Amino acid sequence: MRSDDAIRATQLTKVYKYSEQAPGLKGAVKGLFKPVRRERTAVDAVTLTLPKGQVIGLLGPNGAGKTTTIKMLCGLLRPTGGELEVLGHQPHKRSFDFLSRISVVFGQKSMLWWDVSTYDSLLIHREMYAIPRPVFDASVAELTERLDVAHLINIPVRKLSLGQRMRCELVLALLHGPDLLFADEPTVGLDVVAKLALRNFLAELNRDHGTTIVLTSHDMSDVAALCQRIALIDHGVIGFDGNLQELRQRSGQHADADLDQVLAAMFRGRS
Amino acid sequence: MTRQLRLLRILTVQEVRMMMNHRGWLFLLQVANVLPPAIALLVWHGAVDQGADPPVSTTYLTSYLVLVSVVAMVTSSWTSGFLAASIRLGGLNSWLVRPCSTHLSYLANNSAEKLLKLGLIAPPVVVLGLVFRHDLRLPGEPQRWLHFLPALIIAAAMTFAFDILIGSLAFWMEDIAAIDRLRYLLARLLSGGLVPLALFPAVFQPFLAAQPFRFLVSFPLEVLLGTTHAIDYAYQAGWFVVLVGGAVLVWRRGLRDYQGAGA
Ligand SMILES: Nc1ncnc2c1ncn2[C@@H]1O[C@H](COP(=O)(O)OP(=O)(O)OP(=O)(O)O)[C@@H](O)[C@H]1O
Ligand SMILES: [Mg+2]
Repeated sequence: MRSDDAIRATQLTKVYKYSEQAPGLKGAVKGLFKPVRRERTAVDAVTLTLPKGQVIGLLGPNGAGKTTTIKMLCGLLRPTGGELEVLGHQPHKRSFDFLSRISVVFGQKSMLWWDVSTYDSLLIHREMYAIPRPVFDASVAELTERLDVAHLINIPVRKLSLGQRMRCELVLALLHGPDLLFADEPTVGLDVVAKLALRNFLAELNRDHGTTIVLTSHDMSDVAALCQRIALIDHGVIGFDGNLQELRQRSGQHADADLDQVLAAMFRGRS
Repeated sequence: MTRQLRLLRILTVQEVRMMMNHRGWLFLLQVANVLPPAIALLVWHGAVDQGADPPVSTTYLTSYLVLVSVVAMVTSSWTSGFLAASIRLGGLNSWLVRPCSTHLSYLANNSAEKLLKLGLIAPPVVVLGLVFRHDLRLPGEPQRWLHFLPALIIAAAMTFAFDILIGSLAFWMEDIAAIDRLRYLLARLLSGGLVPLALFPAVFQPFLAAQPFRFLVSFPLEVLLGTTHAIDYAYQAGWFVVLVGGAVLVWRRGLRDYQGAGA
């Protein structure tokens, strides 16, 4: 085993179990007595090794299994099959050491407490991760400066705009200096300026702190700007794993085709 | 451990600050909590004046009904609904990826609520006590109060565990509201929160003494008013183990099946 790998996944699989319900009251009653049980394989035997310090972009159409993969990597979901080691831990055990070395940003979900200011949330995280006061002060100073939110962190979070809040989310997520950051669609809904700021910030984070980043985005320009490596997922299977150039070649599009076209060609080729 | 305690403290302070925004609503809630026992008191006093002969003394009845709203408030918990929603809608995700138990945040939420409500419920209870001061006998021995406190805290812990147990059923069930409602109705009836258990017919007494709901409200008051037997502590310990053990078990099993909805 190489200890300089952040993530080692072998044949990683997740099968969701759920029951289907026909519409209306009739469906509800039927579901009560004869539930239709279904299974969906969201991630299907994914094998992936990520060295420390790399930025990888998980790309794929809606429902491909990107979020499910991230949820297994960060310990939210227990894999149905396969082997998984993240920072030397089995994520689903959710040990303190593991949880204090990772961080998760979901574009669709907030980690901040909405009724209080960002700074109050930061104070809670200070206790949660047992961050010494001087380290805390230095981190807050650095992060608020880099993300340009010094003027926002004392305002109740519910009064911030989406883009402002997203930048504050990042301050909170990175306060404890994680080695590994999962960012699931962090740029969704952001305007171009905010998107660029966030993108630059993540690039700097990787460059200056060596933070390993797993990113998903439907915005190809995010991926092109940030990711040294791209993994294409479709129907829970990794169909391509390499860099941008290789992706262009593989898609069979012209060298100057834009990235959306490249990607669309890849997805069409698979289904 | 000290990290958890510091965390609990800061989360509680935060909850108090957020709840202060709703203090008017909380106050009305407390007045509403004192009303049923106040009415029960009036009814009983009327009945006794008419010649009714309850199986307990008027002073016991009065002291019980004056204090019951405080005990019921301290031992209550409102976590099950929140927990179920957070499991079903994926709000739990935000907790599971951080080194902090979601239960610690609910504990902070409950403690904050108790702190605030204690201040708010005191005035109406004092008024009630003054109105019925001739029949009110609060025990003078510090001994009784010393035994009352742990019984009260254990009762609160049991209700909290019960809440986690029922809320965790949301790992497998779409809707736990019906079960929660049923538990609530049983608790209203069997905990002694509304009517002192001593007033039920004698044939039911052995059953009432052994069932779990008694230990959620009635028992601490019985300890304070000095009407318990040695065996009762064994019952209490037994139900404590069942509820806390059950909550831990169901929670752990549930996490394994957790689907982490959303995002
Ligand atoms: N809790 C769940 N129960 C059942 N099926 C689920 C559940 N969560 C996700 N799925 C299914 O698993 C598959 C993968 O979903 P996932 O959220 O991982 O996709 P994604 O790649 O993140 O998509 P998107 O780009 O739309 O965010 C989808 O078909 C989805 O319907
Ligand atoms: Mg997704």
